[in-house]
Amino acid sequence: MRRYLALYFPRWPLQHLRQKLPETQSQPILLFQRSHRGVVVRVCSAEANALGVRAGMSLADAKALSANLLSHELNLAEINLNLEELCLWATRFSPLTGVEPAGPHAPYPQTLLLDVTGCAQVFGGEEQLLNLAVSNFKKRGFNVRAALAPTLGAAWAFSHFGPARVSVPDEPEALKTLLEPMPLAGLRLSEEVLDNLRPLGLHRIADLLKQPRASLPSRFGAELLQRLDQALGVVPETLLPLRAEPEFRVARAFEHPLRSSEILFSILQAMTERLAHELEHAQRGALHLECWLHHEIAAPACVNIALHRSSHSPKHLWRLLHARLEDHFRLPLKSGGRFKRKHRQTSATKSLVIEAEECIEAVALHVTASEKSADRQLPLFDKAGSDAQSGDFHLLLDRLAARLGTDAVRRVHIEDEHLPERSFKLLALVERAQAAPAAAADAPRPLRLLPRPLPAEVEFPRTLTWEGQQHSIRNVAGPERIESGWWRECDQRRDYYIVEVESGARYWLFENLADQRWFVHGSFD
Amino acid sequence: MASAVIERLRAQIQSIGPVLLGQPQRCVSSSIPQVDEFLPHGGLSLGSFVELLEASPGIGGYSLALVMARCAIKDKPLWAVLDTEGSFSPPAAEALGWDLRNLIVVRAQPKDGGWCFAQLLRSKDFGACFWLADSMDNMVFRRLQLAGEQGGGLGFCLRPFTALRKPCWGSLRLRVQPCGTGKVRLRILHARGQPAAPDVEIEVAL
Repeated sequence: MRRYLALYFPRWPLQHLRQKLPETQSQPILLFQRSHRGVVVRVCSAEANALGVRAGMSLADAKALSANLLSHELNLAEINLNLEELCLWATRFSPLTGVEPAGPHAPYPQTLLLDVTGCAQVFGGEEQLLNLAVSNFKKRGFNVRAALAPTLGAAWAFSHFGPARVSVPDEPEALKTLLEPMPLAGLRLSEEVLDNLRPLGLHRIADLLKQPRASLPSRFGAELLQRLDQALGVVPETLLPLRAEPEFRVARAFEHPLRSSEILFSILQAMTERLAHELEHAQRGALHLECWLHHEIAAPACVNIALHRSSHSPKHLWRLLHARLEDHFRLPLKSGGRFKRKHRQTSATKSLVIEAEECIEAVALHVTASEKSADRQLPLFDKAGSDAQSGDFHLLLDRLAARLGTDAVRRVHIEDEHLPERSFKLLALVERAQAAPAAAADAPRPLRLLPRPLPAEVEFPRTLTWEGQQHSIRNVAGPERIESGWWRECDQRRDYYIVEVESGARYWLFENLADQRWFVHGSFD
Repeated sequence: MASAVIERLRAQIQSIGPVLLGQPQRCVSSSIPQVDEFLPHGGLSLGSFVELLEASPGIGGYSLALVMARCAIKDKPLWAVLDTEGSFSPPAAEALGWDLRNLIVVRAQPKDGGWCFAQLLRSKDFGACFWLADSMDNMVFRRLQLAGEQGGGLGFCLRPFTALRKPCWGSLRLRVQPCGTGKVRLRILHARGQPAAPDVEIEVAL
């Protein structure tokens, strides 16, 4: 029997905001959202509730209730991202952690779901695991309700409508008995289904269980029975983990958090060697490697490496990982923006001293994609090019991608488009072009094409003023009319000219026919 | 007096240059007969890089580099462009006869340019590599020299005119000037192994 832990953060958007703005603690506050119905209150604090503010009312009505009411716009993308960060942090309790999917029952996720099957013994039992999870989140300033149950549905229901922390036994009969007094909202039903059930006097799960099953789907939809059966464990439900389970994994936890990158790197090098040995033993090579750095306070950080050709060479894997780790520790600010990373470099050792809040308490290396050592990928280049590729070629691509990012190393695909900026695409090396390259344009094209056309002042055909410099125009060739297709969202009509200025430099200019403005688009270098 | 001594020493160093650096294993034609005639081995030494200096964009230095590199990709068809500006336009290179199926474009920040170009030059797979290099310190260019010797391909660095006063690290340094539509005028400023540069200007049709 599986065991699931649900961690519910009531009014999560508000909790997240109060973490970000501690000065808003214990103040009446609401979060609003713009919709086709106007600006509507989505979440409000208990203090705002006491003033009469309710979710669903218009912002203007809510503001009329009190002058002291604080209001902020609800940023769903940001709150989801922060919940995912917490989800990664929760991997200390289980390797399989996920965020509840948003659905008709919840417009935004507020619950973390953990598959803790077999994990409890590590923590000394389920009770200890439950207490530890709750106390850890409370220590970080979050209000959390937790429930352990044999099904995801039951864990969700008890975390929302049960006691603050509860462990539900495995036996199906006991589970059913405990679920019966729960409100129907505990089944993760949409508001529409609940509205249909209420007038019929169906408020609790026990009321629903008394009804004939056969008639329920036709009256309330298939969702109702599916959710009921999922909660009771009659129908299986799969937890969607935020991170896929790795194919190969090497992990190490430290007794005391690490502060020196030098020590960390030597440990990771040894771990890479162990991982490479495991891969070699299984006759496989890594294609995608993740290095997880678990911090004491901050969310865990992940350093990714994608390889162009599978490898189980410890030297190669470590070289790539080392380059990425060095970059990672030198970044001035973490992407999430919550924890500033300011690492000091000691001149004597060239080692980086990690700031206290990001001390590393555990590290893990995951291989999330691998292939059989014999199953080599096709060469990247066709015809003669492929014959010339040495074994070092893929190592070079890996090195470039590790240092510059996987997007930095590209191949070209010519597109059948008239607009110059859309006439080619830079594809990832692993992507295969679908169509054969289109024929090159007959008219001359510049070798340097500006990523975006830059505005210029042109007194045609006498002067060109660009980047603060005025040039006398000596020769002009053109115009060449280039138009985008009418089906494009932004129709473009341009007249291009090749302009030679007094210094001899030749530029590619165009006049936008829609507004008669001039732009420099490239130079014939 | 001092300048005469410096001139003499310079000539001596340049004459023993090839001995110190070792004879180049192979040369390829630069596709410009007048340049080939002047070069000590009758062509561009593989395992080195060429510096092209131009006053401003739009003169034609990049096109000239592509013309000069044509012979270098006969044996090794792969070629690479390090694009630190994000401005390289592959269709124009295709129009000059280059096969885009064998091209790798590396987009990097200018700060990573030196490292990245050294990696490309060090690879034995690329016939030619191109880079619009801005100001770079001598150590980076020394690395490029060594990387080129290891890789055996040909590199082309397009540099601004301001680099004229700085030491030349390439096997050949050319100054590129405009000369009407579809043409450039070039002057050899330095060629490794030759004591002095010729005082002639060469017109090249692109």
